[in-house]
Amino acid sequence: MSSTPGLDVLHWRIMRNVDHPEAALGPNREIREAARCVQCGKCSSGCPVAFESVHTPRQVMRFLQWGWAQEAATSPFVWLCAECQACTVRCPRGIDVAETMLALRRLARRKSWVRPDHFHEALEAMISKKGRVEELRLGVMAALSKWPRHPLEDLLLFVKMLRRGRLK
Amino acid sequence: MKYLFYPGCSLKGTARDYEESLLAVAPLLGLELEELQGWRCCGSSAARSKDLNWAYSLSARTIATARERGMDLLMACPACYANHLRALKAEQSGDESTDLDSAGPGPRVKHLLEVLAFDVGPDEIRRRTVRPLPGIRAVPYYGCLVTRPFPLGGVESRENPKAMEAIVEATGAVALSFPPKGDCCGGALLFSHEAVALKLTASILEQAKDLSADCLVVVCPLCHFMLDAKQRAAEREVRRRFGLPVLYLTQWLGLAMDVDLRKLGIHRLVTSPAPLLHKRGAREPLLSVESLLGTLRLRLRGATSRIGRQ
Repeated sequence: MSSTPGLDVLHWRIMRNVDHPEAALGPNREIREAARCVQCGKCSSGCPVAFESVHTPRQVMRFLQWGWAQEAATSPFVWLCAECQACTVRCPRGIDVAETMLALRRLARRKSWVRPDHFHEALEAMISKKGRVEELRLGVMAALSKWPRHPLEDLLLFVKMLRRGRLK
Repeated sequence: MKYLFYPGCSLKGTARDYEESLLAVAPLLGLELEELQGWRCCGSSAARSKDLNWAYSLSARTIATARERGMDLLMACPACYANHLRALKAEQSGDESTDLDSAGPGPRVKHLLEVLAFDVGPDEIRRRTVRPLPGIRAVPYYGCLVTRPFPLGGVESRENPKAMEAIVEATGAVALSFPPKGDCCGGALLFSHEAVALKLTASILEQAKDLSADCLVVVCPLCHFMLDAKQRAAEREVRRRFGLPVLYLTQWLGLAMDVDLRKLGIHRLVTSPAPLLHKRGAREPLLSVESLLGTLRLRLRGATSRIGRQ
């Protein structure tokens, strides 16, 4: 493995993070938990959306162990996570993996590493201003912004929902 | 049994049939529901992606009201339930530096399924069933947040819950063993990554169809939207016709207790429930043009198969 320079450096980092998680991973409790991860991969094998992502949850945890908080927080997986909690209940080390993903979202927002997508922005505005989620507005937004679009299918669904009185 | 009922955004919008059927069925099961006045959104997943304190503060008001009234909270939406339970646990464990003694013992936050399975119980449901549904093959589907991360009632298994099976069997129907009963339907991704969400939904519908199920029974508004309203899109995704009716558990109980179909909001289902009502027997009333077409299609199929046999 001499062609992989830096592996020993990364290993040293992991050991340092396990011993002093606070110094390496910051004050956030959920993110510090990553130091305890043993990389068994149970979170990735049970993850319903890992097949669609460049990174699996195990890899995101590994980034954290290496001290790469920015790489972890800007990974597309963090924003793809459906929060189904399968990883959390299956983790043999008792790490709340789903909560770690949310903590990374919060970290990325706080440090302005990513811009939240339109969906999250709209949802936040609705919750803080109206105190209610307007599903119709979200649905129209999603129908117009997704790709590939299915205008006929979405229009048909809109008419069906309207006729059944479910859009009020 | 009296509960403070927190409806949540979905039950006032796209899942209006859930609320209707719950309010129609609850008195028959001896549940007294009082709607929480001036409730606000629990924050969904968006609040927790931005600021944890904000997310907890959204739930804190509801919990404080329940504590003042001395009543337990009943939620029908699993996302609201999980969010409120999380906020309650954070408050009790002192994460937000609240004084436990001054706060007093918190109210309990319960999901509808928990109340039906443990407080009401399958025996009571069997006693109240006036029109059993024998021979109907139902698939109980839980979804993510009812049983994870908090086990239902504190005792139920998180990976293989059995609460809904007991309720479905109490109505005389067949509750099919469904391995992906706790899998994710992708509802949380519907607005941001629709293609991914539809793949997950289609996989659940496919496995239910392979078990030759007559219908799915769910307790989550978002699961219901994905499996019922988005079923046509999932069919397009995997190029396979499903035609599986998806009912809320409360609608299912209403069928077993012979409640008027309109009161249960059966006419609001997007995927026609005609095959299920047909199998249940008796002439179904005209609910919508689609259900009439579904019935005609069934009759026609029966007629052609008879002709084929001759």
